[in-house]
Amino acid sequence: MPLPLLLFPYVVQKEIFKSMEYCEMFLMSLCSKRMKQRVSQASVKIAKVWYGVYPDMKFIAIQDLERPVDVHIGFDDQPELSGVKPVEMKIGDNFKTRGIVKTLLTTLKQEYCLIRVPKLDAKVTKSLHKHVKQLFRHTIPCGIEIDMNSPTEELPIYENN
Amino acid sequence: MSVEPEVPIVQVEEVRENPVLYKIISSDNHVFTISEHAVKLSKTLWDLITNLGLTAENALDNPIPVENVNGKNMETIVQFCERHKYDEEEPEYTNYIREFVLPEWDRQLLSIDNEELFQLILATNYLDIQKLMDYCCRVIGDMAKDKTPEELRIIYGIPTDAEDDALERSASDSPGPSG
Repeated sequence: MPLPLLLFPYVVQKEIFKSMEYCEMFLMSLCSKRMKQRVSQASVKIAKVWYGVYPDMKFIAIQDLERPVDVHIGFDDQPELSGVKPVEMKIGDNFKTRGIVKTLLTTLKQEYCLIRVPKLDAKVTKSLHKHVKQLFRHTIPCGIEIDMNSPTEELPIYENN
Repeated sequence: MSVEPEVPIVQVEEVRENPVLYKIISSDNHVFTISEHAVKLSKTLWDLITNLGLTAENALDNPIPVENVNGKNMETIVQFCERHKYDEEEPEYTNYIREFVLPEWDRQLLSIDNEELFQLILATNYLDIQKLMDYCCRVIGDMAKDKTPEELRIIYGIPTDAEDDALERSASDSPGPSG
């Protein structure tokens, strides 16, 4: 029998989210609109979001108090998706794309989620940015880390509000 | 010259051996005895005891009925509270995520099937036992480790958007209480 998380009272759901990593809450939000809404309603407060743009990977890192900043969501493109079965994802304001979702460990042994899509363009990155903003409430303005060699057309407009 | 203290020193162990006991009756009429320190972990029960004015003298003569919790869950809850009754207060969490390692004894206690865990969490929520809630939620949260959204949907019984829409349509199509 599955554990019917959505049947728990809302206060219990919030407690369950507190036991998950940020990347797990993000993955939960990809399951359905209703689940995304529940994660969003939990008003998860974080210190700061960092966006990283590098030629081989883009990432979203979450900074918390007294915790080292680490990658929580990584995304890159792979024109021919192979390996794990691609799934349809609804991100941001109902933007649909197909991609592969995996969980991996960073060098700091932090679990992170890697999303691979056939083409990583500004629409996808903007939707991911939006999605993270819808889930987590940051208290300090976002930061951005850009590699000089990254193509500028892949960059969405990053906003702090 | 050494001065003897005027107040006698009471050994902590002595106090522990003579606790005030309370009786709790589960929804299926099982009777449980629980010590004062242990029952204090449940905000609901402790508020009830305080409001009923139960004291060391009359506590055992006035069992407390708990209609929402069955004997099986109450047994787990009593075991948990007795085990953790002398724990130090948890530090305040600064971040949203609660970082702690679930002790092995508690992991064993909570190694139950999902249906039982679901009922235990509802009981814990009703009795307002924060520590047990944290531990149960840790068990549930750990189920999400290394999983894809598809796997999470199965583990947590999350309907797809299409299923949610179909459910909503059938709910709106079905006649209401007056129809």
